[in-house]
Amino acid sequence: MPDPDRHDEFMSLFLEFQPRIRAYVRTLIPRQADAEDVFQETAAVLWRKFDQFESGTHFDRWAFRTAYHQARAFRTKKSRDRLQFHDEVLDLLAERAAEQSETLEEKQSALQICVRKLPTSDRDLLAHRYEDGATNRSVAHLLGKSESAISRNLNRIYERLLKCVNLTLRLS
Amino acid sequence: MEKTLTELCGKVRDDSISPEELHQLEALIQANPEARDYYVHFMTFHALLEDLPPVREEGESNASPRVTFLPVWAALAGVGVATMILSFLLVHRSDDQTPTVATLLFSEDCRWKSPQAPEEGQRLREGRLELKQGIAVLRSDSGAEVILSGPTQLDLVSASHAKLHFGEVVVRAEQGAEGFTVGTPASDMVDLGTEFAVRVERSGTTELHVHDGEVVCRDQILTAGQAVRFPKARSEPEPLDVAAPRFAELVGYANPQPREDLRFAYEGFHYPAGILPLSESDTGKGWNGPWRLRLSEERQRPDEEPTPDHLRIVSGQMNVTWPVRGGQLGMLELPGNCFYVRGLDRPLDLAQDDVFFFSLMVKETERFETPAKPQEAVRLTFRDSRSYFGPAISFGHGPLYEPRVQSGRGVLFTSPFVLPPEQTTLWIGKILSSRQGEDEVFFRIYGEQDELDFAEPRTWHVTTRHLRLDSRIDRVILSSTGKSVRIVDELRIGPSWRSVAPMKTEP
Repeated sequence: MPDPDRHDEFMSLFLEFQPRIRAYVRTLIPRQADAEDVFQETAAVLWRKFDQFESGTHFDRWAFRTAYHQARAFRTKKSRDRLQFHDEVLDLLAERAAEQSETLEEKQSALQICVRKLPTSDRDLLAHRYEDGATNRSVAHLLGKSESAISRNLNRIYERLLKCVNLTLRLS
Repeated sequence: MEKTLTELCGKVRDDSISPEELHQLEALIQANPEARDYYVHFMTFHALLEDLPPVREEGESNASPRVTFLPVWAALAGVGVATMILSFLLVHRSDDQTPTVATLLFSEDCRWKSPQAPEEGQRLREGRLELKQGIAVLRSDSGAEVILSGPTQLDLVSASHAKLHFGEVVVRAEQGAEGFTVGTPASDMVDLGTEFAVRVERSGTTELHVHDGEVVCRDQILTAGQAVRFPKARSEPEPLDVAAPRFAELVGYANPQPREDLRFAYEGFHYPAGILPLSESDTGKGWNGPWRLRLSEERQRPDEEPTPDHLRIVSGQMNVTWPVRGGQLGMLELPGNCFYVRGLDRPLDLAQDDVFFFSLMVKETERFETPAKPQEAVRLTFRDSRSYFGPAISFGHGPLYEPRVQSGRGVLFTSPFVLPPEQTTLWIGKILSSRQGEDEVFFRIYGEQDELDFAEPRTWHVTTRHLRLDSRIDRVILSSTGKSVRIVDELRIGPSWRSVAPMKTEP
């Protein structure tokens, strides 16, 4: 375990790259709860092995390697679970996710702008859906709609956001 | 039926994908680089939206709430990131900026949202607690006690305000602790004393059950025996029969037991009555040697040593009214002037964030009418062998038999309480050590009539201020001055209340 005095240094790096690491893990692990577990395990391993991290080098790349191994290890643990990506697919996604991660902060800013451009009802739906603990079902219950209507609407919103973000990034 | 790529991605996002559909998605990802990119973009968006969700702003009136997206660079305000930070802080306690607002009194078989793992006796900071499973009890600094039944997510907003996002809590606020507020999707619930339960489902359905006293909910006062349900956050309340468990019932269900197994050190003086040479006083647990006299470097006056070179063991001299296991098998008689030292195997490191408790039974055999010289006193002292006369902590009483804590730099903390004369008493102390902030020491002396509860008390006789110690305690000294004889027994040192206190338990 690293010296507790290095904790501030670790926290500072971890917080800075946390969005990239989360997005990376979420891309590799299809099931939400599993992705949470792998993310938390990755965080714990990153701290435990922090002594191996060379200050000044790329924290995110080091974190991705750890996350990748955690994802692979997770897969081995639950080998009979069919809701996981096969190794070949995992590798393809890992490579692409690491590359795309470079522009995560720009995407985040663009996403902000694009969400604001959505009609009020769409923004409301996103707000409800992304509240802590919410699911399509709970949002459906809350808004008096069917679950499938919620998922269709979300998909439509996502398509719109994807187009908008791509455009925003190209124009900036 | 063939699903489109978007539909498949949506199903992963919503956790509704079947193995066959996942297989379809895998095929697309393997065959098609654009599909691969699309999937990565899609899941990245999902992760970004989770990290910094669009936030609904409540309007003042019936106007529809505006939705704003929390600014990216105000990341610390974002729900997702804030949760991570707060979780870390709750575990690592390295940030002394965030105020502490409560103490965790009890938890067992609890599963918290990783990496949280708060321990009994630990202080809790403002922030989010997420209990996945189990029952935990905390006491807010405003005096209200809150039981959480997992799965429950509760934000500690301040000493008198918590927000229940989902789960179930029972709040008990005795006199003086009124005003504790539990925020819910449907309404704030304000306790006017004394006991109520709140249940919130993830859909926003909220229930309030009032067991005792009164609770204010949406500007109405509900009284004992009343309960309401809000099917949705904005619904009107529907009356219900009270059906939630009571605070005491949940505690009974959790059935807190003593945790002797967690003790660091124990000395019950389980020796036969009579004279025991010091070299043979080597039983107990957690010590690195028998009891001994002070070394010359441990004495203020190196040439004087009034302590006899043996322990005098007696039995049956105490009136033990608490459930002290082993409390009757031999106890130590301390003559007028003595200092006995014993070394701890596991030092107590006050330079780290940690919690320590100790307990000791003490009986005064004689109390003199007028204060005498030398002063009558019995003391338990914790010292650091690296710096023997440096900062230490001692527990005892002053000339007027008031409970007293002394820190090695000579600072005294006392209480206006007067110890009952010639009674058997139970001393309990708590040391909350902090790496960066202030250390806190608490001391209370219980009398024969007192019962010890399943968790630490709300009030102590002595509490310290402005103490910053970084000693590494590895020596314990039992000492006595004056003419009268004292009996001591059952010295216990451990990480929690339950590891040292002879608490009352359900039969």
